[in-house]
Amino acid sequence: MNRLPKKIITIAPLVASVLIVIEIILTNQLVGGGAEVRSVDMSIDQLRQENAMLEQKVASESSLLSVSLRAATQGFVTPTKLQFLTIAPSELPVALANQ
Amino acid sequence: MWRVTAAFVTIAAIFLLVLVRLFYWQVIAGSRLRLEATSQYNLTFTLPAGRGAIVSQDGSPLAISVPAYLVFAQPVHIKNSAEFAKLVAPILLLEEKDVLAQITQEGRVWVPLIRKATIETVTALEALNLEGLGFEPVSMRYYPEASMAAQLLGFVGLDQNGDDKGYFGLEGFYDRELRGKDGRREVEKDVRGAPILIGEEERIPAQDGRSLSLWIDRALQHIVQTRLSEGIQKYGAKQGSIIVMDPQTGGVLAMASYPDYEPASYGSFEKELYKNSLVASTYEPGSTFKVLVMAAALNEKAVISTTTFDEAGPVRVGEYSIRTWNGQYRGIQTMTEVIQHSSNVGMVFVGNKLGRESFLQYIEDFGFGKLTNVDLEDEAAIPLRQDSQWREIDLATASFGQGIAVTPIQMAVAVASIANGGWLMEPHVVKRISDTKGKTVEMKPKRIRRVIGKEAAEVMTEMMINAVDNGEAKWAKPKGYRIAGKTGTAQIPVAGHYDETKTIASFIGFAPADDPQFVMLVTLREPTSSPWGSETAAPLFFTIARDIFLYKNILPK
Repeated sequence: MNRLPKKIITIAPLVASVLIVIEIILTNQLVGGGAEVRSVDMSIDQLRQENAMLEQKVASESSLLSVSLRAATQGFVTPTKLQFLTIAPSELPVALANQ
Repeated sequence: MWRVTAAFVTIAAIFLLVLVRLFYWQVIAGSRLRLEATSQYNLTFTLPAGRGAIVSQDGSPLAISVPAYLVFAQPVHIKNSAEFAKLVAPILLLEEKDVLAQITQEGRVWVPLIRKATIETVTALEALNLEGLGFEPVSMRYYPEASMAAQLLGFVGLDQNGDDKGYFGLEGFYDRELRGKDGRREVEKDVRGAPILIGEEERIPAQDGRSLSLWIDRALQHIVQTRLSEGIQKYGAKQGSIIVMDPQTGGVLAMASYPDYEPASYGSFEKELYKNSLVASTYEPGSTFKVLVMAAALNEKAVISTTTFDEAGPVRVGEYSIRTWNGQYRGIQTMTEVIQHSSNVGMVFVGNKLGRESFLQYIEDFGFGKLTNVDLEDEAAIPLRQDSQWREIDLATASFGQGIAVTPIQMAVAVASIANGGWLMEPHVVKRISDTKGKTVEMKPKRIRRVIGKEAAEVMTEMMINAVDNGEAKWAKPKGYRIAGKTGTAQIPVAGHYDETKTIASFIGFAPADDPQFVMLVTLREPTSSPWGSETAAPLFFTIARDIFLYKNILPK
């Protein structure tokens, strides 16, 4: 009966010491991880910013202002005269009339 | 004994000093020291709320927020102020001497140099690697379509606290919805300034502003703006404005004024340009007003389209003589011809038939003298004069649209009621408001009141179609379409009399007349090629109508 408590008395401080060392190491690692968190935060900000910039670029490129400018440089012009053809169903080509 | 006393007094004095010092630290300097301590072990980030976007009917952005930076200087960390100013000023497009003056000003520890710097500017500044130069992320408004719908959109400036605030147009009217609420994150930091993972953290998330989806059709807006600009050049007008509305819902499909400005660089334009003349300025509508008086008379059955009167010559009203616009008198005229030839004399006849009380009631019912409640800042409306103040001559001139001041949007809303069968609609620019969580509020079309019956509206529409087909502007009309419209040429009142040479030319109409897709008002101020609406505003109206038919795939009959 007396041997068991003695063993416990011997081992317990050792276990406690090991746990304390582990806790110190882990805490130290966690504290050091702050720098990593900061770097992740910065990456998030950076990506968010890039995303916003891309959004701006898409908005700018798809604006009617740039589309009309590009169309003009590529030779597109506004139609000056429109002509509409009105065809009676009986006058449609056979292929279309049967549809 | 004296030694004991001296020791006691000394100890008591020391305690008193300690007490005084403690009182100073705890009470007087307490809050400052707490703040300093907090700043030593806490890291606080502002989580800026994004301002909501403004998008057109098809979801294309008209205004969005993009990242930018507040560039600041901390004079205490600057080694060589002159060198600093010399390097920084050209990148920020500032005067070197101004920058130097600011950073060398005594007692300044933090100097904002520029509030909305682009990322390219900041990248160039970072490359200088200067001590005492800092950047803080902010957001900046970006308008992809530049000056498109400028007066409709408004702009974002700064309030007295240096915070973003919307002014004019939608940015001003919906500022509270758009701006959102900044958040905050506070974490404990280590000696290197990095956050401590096991430390305490307080986080209040930012609430982004709500986004506005408009009735504005981007392509239509582009058409209207381009054509207005061309029209201003072609007819040598001083100013011009166009509004296109859906008569069934009151939704504003396009709205353009000229001259305009660029919201992104609003500071470099005249302040007079900020106001949207379509809602904030009044004008005398001239002959376009005749359709409303005639519609009222038809509704009251005071006249029918075939009622005749003898246009024998000028009509006397008290001491005044009212003539036709061209001095020609056509004898027996039907009401349809009165509108077709835009007869002032005929309209005095119609006004008399309608009667004073009905006349005034209809003016009010069509929405004149009151705000239309369009969701734009700066809407103005001149109250109508008291009923008792209307003299006989005032009623006579108002019957053909002179001596009464209206806003273009009031006119468009009033004529839209003829197009939609008699309902006065509340005009709206915003169709829906949505937040970042997906919650959406639809702005449902709102009928204010029925002004005229369906039958009167239909007869009036036919009279307006006839005016387009056989009136002064028939040469410009696109063939094969039924368009209801009316020209207007109003003289401009100057210091109690009408200027003989200056006019406001206008044309109001809707199409296709049998199933109106749009009602449009074109106004040109002081056109120089011709003073008449039929030779300036009307052809511009028809040019735009032709574009709209093509765009909306509306085929001729």
